[in-house]
Amino acid sequence: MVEPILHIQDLDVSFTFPDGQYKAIDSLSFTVYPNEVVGIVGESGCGKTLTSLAIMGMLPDNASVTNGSIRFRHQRNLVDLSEREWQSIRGRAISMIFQEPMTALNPLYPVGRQISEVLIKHTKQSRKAIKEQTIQLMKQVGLPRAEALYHSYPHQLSGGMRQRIVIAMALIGEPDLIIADEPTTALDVTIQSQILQLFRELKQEKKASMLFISHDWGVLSQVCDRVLVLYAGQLVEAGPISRLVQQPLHPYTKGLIRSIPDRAKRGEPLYTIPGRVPPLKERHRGCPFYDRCRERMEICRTVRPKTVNIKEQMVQCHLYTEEMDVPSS
Amino acid sequence: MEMKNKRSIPFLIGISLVLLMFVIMITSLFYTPYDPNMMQTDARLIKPSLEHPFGTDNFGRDILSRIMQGSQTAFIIGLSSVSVGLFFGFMIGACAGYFGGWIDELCMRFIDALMAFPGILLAIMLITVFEPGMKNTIFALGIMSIPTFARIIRSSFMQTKQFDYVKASKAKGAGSTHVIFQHILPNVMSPILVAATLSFSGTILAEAGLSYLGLGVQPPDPSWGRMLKEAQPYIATAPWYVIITGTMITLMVLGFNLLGDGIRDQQDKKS
Repeated sequence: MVEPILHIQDLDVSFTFPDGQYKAIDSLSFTVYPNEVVGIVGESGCGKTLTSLAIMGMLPDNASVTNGSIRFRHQRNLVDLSEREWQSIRGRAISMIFQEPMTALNPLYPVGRQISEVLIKHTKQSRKAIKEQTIQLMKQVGLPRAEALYHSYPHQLSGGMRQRIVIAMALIGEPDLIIADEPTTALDVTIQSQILQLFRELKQEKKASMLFISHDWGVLSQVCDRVLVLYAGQLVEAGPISRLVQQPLHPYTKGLIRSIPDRAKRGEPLYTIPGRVPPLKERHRGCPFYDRCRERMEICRTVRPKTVNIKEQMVQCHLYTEEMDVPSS
Repeated sequence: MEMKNKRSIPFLIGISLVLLMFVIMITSLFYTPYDPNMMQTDARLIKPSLEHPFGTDNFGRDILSRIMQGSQTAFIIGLSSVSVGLFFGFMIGACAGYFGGWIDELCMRFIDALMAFPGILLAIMLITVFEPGMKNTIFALGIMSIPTFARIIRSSFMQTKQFDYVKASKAKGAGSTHVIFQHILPNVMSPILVAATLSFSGTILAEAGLSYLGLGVQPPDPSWGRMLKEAQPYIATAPWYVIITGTMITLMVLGFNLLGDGIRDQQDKKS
């Protein structure tokens, strides 16, 4: 058995409001193994970003981990770390790629300096060595004329270049785990495919694991090994990307897959899942997807479904039981 | 283009006035026409003439020389009180805005308590408790300006804290001090600069007010506020004394106000 990089067990993250506490992430468990790219998919408000912030120890002020553990390389529960201990992990062991390359860079500093900030903070190398290493990495992420770009300011660069800078910023500390929060959403399609190409190359070269958050199945299928489907803060389905796309089990995953635009569906109205993600304060005890489910049963309203493993897939739905074979759809 | 020119006129007037005052102040450091404290009993309340361009006061002292000397006091008081206010205001505002939660609550209630007193009343109270003089005036006026700075800095911090590059810096493993001074502060310099400039004029006006009441700068240090007080009894016989002193205070305050407004307009245009 390979030692996991990240192991999350029964994680609850709650928001505290004046009128009480509300669970935004509800008993989430999953594992990331070395050199594996795990995708997280779900609509807005399902807890994708909140999960990544919990792993970075950067939850908003009114949110906190109320139960469960986040273990990195079998070490202590990250939830118990002090702010100072977190600082030695962030950037070095776990790093993050932000969604918006326009805002993820400080407008007042040259980009090279912003990349090397991690090394200045975490290592005792000389400035010159750090600069060389930074330029080296800038070349690796496909930035031309890295020596000149080192001294450029963010406003002088295009969106694609900035995102490469942001990626370099996340890679420079040689982290074991990289969290990419929708790294291609803000880019136009041609740049998006270039950046995805870069991710695939990096996966080959750097032996880092990655948590890749997106709501674009096309993007996920290009880079991910496995995908987790989150709905209203709960893990409803997980499995290898190819299985999920070809044979989704959970009605929510089925809905997501159906609503992907496709050339074959040309002329037909685009399918959308009716309804919306239940707001934080309106989540009840049964299946979270009950209100919008096309295959709901009476039991779904009151009883939370158990997790069922069917071959490589894991699903949380009353339609399935442990003994069942994959239903033909 | 036309809009731009229209808007920068107040700014130009402001910067000219401030520069003029600055030049007067610098000149007075090594040259005044007469000794500002030299009394000539035979030359009391002389009308402005070639010999005494601004005339003389009730002790026969040259008003021009005293105005020049007084500009030093105005600048020292303005600069020092703004520094004091900015220093404490920054610490309070930055902590409140950056950390939020109960720290924010605590800092802001303290600021509320300070704001409950009208500024000048607070300054008068502080000076009465301690004693009148340059140093205490500076502290009193500095404390008076803490709330303005703290509130502006707090709100700028809360705003800037939300930006991804601040989060990105945290995600790189940076500590609070690094984030505050390297990433947030340089990005909130402009509102701080505007507040400091506007507060400068407020402080000068408050000092003139305090000195007029006899609570500010004490003799022999010259102060425009005290000159105004000394000129008051002679308003009928020597009106130039009041007019000249009052005009100087007005120009100084106006200059800094226009400058502050001008900087703010320029920034509003940029964003």
